[in-house]
Amino acid sequence: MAVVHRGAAAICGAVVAMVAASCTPTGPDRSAPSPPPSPSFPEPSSSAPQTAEEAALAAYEGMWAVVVDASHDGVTEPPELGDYAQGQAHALMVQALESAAEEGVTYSGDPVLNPEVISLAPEENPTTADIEDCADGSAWIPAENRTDSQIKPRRIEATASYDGLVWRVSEMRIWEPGSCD
Amino acid sequence: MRLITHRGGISASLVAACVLTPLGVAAADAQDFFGRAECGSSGGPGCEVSAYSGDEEPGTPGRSREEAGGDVADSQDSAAEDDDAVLTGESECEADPLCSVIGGAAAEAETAEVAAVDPAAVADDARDSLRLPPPRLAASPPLDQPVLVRVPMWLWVGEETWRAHSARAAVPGGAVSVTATPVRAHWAMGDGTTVACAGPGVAYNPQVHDPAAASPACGHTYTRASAGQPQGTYALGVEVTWAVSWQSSDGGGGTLDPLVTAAGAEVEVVESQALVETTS
Repeated sequence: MAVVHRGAAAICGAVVAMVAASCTPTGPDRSAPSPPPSPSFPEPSSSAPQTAEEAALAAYEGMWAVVVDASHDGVTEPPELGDYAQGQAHALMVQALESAAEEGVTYSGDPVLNPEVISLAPEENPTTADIEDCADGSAWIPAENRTDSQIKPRRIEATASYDGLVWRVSEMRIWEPGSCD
Repeated sequence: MRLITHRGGISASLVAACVLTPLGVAAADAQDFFGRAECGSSGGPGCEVSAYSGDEEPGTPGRSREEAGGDVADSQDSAAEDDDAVLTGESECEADPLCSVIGGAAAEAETAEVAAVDPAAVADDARDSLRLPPPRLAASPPLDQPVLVRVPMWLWVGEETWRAHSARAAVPGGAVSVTATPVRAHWAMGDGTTVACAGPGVAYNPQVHDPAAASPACGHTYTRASAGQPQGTYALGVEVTWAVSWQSSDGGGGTLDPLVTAAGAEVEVVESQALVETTS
């Protein structure tokens, strides 16, 4: 489609010989000059083409990975935790790590997680995800005096939230052993 | 060493006794790490850091304000090194940054006098995480060609970069949403003129608009060529100001500092006579 620009036509008429090369009213409509010199506003980060469900689960599992490492090392507030958790969930994890550190208890082993996203809201462009997990912590026990632990899996309910940039676990409740059923 | 094994049929009172056992022995022996954050049917240390309001998780069994709140004292008992913990909890709070959250749960159970988290502060953080698009500046005559002096120039911001953006952040007991709405565009024309426009401007449409007319909303007419400028062009810039407001799920709300996005372009303004002379 030929787009006739005001003014451009006038230039053409006035100075045909001189600017013929640059005067192309039928050329592509580049009314937006490129690139805008504004490096401080990157596009919304979508480097990983994840669905909301995948991103929420990644936050949940990422959070636990950070906490597991911290529990092995006696760290009370790993800085990366903030990448995966916020608000109450963040506070809950820090408190648990602090209580272990205060008692001088370090942990070894890993939990076995089985998280599932059970609901997303709103339906379009979800910003919250409810997660349910039946997590087995029987191998994630104090490093000293490890015994064959019979701790049954427990139910974990979590909510992950999207703040417009990243998904993070925002709320969490961990139930007692044997609470999965 | 005591090994306490939880079986399916274990009674609630035994679980409670386990939770309330003084620290050290039982906790170190029989707990997985999850136990340190547990807030189960019989409470647990995790209930301290809770803001389960009941209404945000409808139908979840046992997840009520009464239960979470009622467990606060118990679990503080069990987690504390000394028996004064419940009484001194408030003064300890001042030294402990976590206490704004933990203390909030206790306060909610009693008088609800202190908000667990300041929603305005959360909103401010959410505002910082908003990623607003830079304005796409558009003009007629288009900016990639020399513009003639005295031809009214229409200016507008591309509509895909002129719409509200919002972000939501969860806080204990609810959520805070922050919305940024574009309200003003300031154009610096590069010739010393600034043009303030109350909206995005009107996109020129050759089928509708009179080519000789100035934009009804946002425009400028250059009167001098840009030949004397450093690059031979005027540096055109536009700044879009966004009004930012926040709302919390409990009915609170307010305004935050506005945000500004910007973009720029070079525009060459020519007089036909001068052009003829310089290029001959």
